[in-house]
Amino acid sequence: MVARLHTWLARIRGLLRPGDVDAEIEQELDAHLALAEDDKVRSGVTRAEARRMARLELGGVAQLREASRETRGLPRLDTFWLDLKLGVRMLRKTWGLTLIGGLALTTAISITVGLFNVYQAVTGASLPLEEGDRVVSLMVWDAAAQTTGGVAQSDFERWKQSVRSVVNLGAFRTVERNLVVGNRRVELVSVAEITASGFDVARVPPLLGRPIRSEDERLGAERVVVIGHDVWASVFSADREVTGRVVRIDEVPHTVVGVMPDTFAFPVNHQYWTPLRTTLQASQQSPEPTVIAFGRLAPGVALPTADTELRAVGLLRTGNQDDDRQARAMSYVRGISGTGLGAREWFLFVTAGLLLLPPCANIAILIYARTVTRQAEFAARHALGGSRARIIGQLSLEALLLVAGATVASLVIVSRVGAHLQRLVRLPNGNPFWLDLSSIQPETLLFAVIIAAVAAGIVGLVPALQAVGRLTDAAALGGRSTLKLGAAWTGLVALQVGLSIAVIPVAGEMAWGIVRPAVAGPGFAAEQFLTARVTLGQAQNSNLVEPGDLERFGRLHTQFARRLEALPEVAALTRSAVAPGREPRLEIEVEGDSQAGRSADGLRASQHAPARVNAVDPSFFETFDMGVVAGRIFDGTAGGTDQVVVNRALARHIAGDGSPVGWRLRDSPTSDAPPTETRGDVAVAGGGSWQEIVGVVDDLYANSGDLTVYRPLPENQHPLSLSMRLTTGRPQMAQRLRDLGSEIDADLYVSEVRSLAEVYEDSHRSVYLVGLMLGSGALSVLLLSAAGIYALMSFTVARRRREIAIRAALGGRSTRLLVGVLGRAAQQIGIGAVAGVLLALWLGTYLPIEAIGGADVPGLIPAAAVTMTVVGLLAAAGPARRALRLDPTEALRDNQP
Amino acid sequence: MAETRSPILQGTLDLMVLKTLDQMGPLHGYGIARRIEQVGGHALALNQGTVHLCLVRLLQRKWISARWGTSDNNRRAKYYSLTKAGRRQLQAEAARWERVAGVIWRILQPEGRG
Repeated sequence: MVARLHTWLARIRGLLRPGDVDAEIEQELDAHLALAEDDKVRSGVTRAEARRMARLELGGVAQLREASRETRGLPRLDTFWLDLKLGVRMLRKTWGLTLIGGLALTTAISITVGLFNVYQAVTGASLPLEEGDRVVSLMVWDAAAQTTGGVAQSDFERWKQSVRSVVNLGAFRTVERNLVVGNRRVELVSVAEITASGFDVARVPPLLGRPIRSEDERLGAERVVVIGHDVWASVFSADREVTGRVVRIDEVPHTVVGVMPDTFAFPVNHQYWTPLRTTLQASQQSPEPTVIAFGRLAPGVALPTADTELRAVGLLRTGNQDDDRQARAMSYVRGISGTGLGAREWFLFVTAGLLLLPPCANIAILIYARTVTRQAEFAARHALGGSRARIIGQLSLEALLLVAGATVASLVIVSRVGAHLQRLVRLPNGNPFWLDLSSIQPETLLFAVIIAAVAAGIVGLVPALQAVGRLTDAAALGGRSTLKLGAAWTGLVALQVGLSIAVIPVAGEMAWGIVRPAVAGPGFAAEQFLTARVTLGQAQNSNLVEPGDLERFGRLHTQFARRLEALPEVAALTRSAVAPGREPRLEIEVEGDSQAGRSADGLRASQHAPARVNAVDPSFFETFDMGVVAGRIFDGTAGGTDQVVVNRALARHIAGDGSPVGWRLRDSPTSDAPPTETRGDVAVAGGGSWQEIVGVVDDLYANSGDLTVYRPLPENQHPLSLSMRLTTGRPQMAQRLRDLGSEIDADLYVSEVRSLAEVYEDSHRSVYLVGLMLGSGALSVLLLSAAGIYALMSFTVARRRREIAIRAALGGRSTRLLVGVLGRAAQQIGIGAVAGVLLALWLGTYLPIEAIGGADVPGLIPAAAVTMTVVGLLAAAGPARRALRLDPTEALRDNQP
Repeated sequence: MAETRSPILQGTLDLMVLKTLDQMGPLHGYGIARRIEQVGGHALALNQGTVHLCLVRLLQRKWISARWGTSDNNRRAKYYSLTKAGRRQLQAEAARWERVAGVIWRILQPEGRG
């Protein structure tokens, strides 16, 4: 042990003073030779002969010097610089390969790392607050759905009393409120109702005035509001005397008591804060309002401890789903963003990872090809004493250099693109204050390093092992590398072709599925339609409206609709539960109607599909010009709640080319019901009872491919969405609608006035970017794979140049030779193409591409196969023709392939 | 004659060098190589250069120390001598070698008779 330590220290000393070490070796060997020479002269040999004998006995001086240097320096470090220089020189020498390989790797790594970074920025970021990593959210975790949700107020109150591992326990909820400042117009703003502890957790002092205090939370306390810096600057013209001014929030006067500094937007992206009054008959309401709870880990407590405590404290009332719901403490951002890695995210990562494979295989093959041409060099180095490990190290280092360069370039690209995304991305509910897409997260850096290591392994190590495994000194030293590009080579070509053919259709379909709705647009003049949400007061959910009020709401919105229809700009008007395009997605179960004999194989198993669900007025279909394809639409007056109409996409999904009219469907009992807040908009008739499909209508958004179920609109639907077809543009329509509403009744609250084109764009924009990235990635991989296969095939044929030229000189007919060469190339490509097509078909069958947002693109697999084959054959033809024209004497002289 | 020379068993050169320095006192590299050749009676195929590599190794482990001096015929040479740690190592190695050699000898004996 001690001896080993001494050895290392000595080696480090040697490394630091390489000149001294060299000089010492020289002196010592000289001394040795002189002593030996003297000795031999004394025994009667001539000095010249003595010198010769002494050298002979000492052995090769050069090797000795080298070995001694290796013994004295650090085992690898001293050779590292040499290898590094050689690596850079080799990369520069084969600059074409370096360029193609570097580009391929950069593209692939950028996509993979970029996706990871975005995901990390959205869900894994730590809060940009003092000790932000100790801020936690206390959520209700639904294990089955893998989502987080808010906590009932009664549970929150209980947690506040009993949880010890989290301090400053607070809660908030976001509400939409009408704000009036002075004579300004009514503005709909998003307000955080938050406990005073929220400001303690954030540890950010106000710019002016004070934050919310706990006494503000008491019933009967003066109503106060704290405003954000942006609002202070824009609405209050940065008035330093703003505190004490009164604003009206939902008609209730609130006193401004404080201004928070710039960049403060805790808890998510808020600019208005009012006290959360949690004690208010919360538990009597049904469903009980939920809040999002948060706090700071108590000093010395780690997150797992807090999580364990919270799980033990548990939930008071878990309703019917208590089996799957748990109280959990988690990192703040993770809790707020509400989900772990869903199936879709995993799929994106796996696809992105697969995208990395072809370029890697590509470069691995090309490097292997180059390695094969360097066999003679390796054999010579091996014969001169270079160990296999050293040669492998050298080759791996070359790959590592290439990959490291690509990784650095990728990180730069990811950060640049991230900065653009940061400006472009507008999340549906506003960007949270911690969202920073432009900087590289630490986890991303780690991920990039892992990816780079894997890529370097594939690109460098595998070909190196292959090459060194084949070191047969004599054959290679012969100069003419007699090495055959054997089965491994055919395998590599096949792998390359196969992977490209298999991966490209999957990535393409996925990308197309995501991009299509945005690229192709809604498929009708959506900008001519205006939608608005109508509610009774601020109630977001019919559960919060008394039955008597529902009737009143019915009268009010009918009156409102009539007033709207009388407007000259409105050509037609219809009602639905939610604006078309904003329907919640539910898992539905469909049962074929075997009695009616509509399915060929008798009993038909039930099938599940994710569908959007809306409840609509019968006039809905006419207003949107959706033709009836089969059956009929439901009769509004008969009020058949057991009847539904489905769109063409759903009909095709469940019945193929047949008609599903007469079949039955229901909400899947196994489906993880979305929280009532999102689902409450749509009346789910019967809550899981079977409904008959009475008709099939055209898709509204022709290009979205959304499966949609339309149910009859219940009598007292609340809230309600009104859709109008306009005859002209919509100048000032939003304000007019609001004014009209409040003219009819102060409680008739009109919000979300938007054109259908906006609704459509909003629901597709966020995924559009991801799709675009994936699509461009798939396209680059296609191009790079094509380039790779081209390089490969031309290399393969170029190696046979001598043989082809000689056979041509001996009288071989050129067409026959060409056919021979192409035949062999076709064989290699063919194996890959068949394997690739089979793999692609298998992937197409087993991957739920359409279920997770992909779209079938017919002919993508054959197109990929044909492209790759043609590219391969063209690549083989070029060098073969050049070889035919070559002078045989020249070919014979030429040792290099 | 070269065919009858045996190559040095791996790991034994260190032991031989240590033992030589123990017996002869401070010695230069050429001297050590000559001494081993003499004792070996030309039965060992010793590449004198490898002795130098061995000396570097032993020096790094601090089992021997080195200083420059002058030889009998007035040549400058590096003289090596055993350190305390080297002597301990020699004893341990010699004991181990004896054990191993004994085992090998015992294994070979019946084979030789049979």
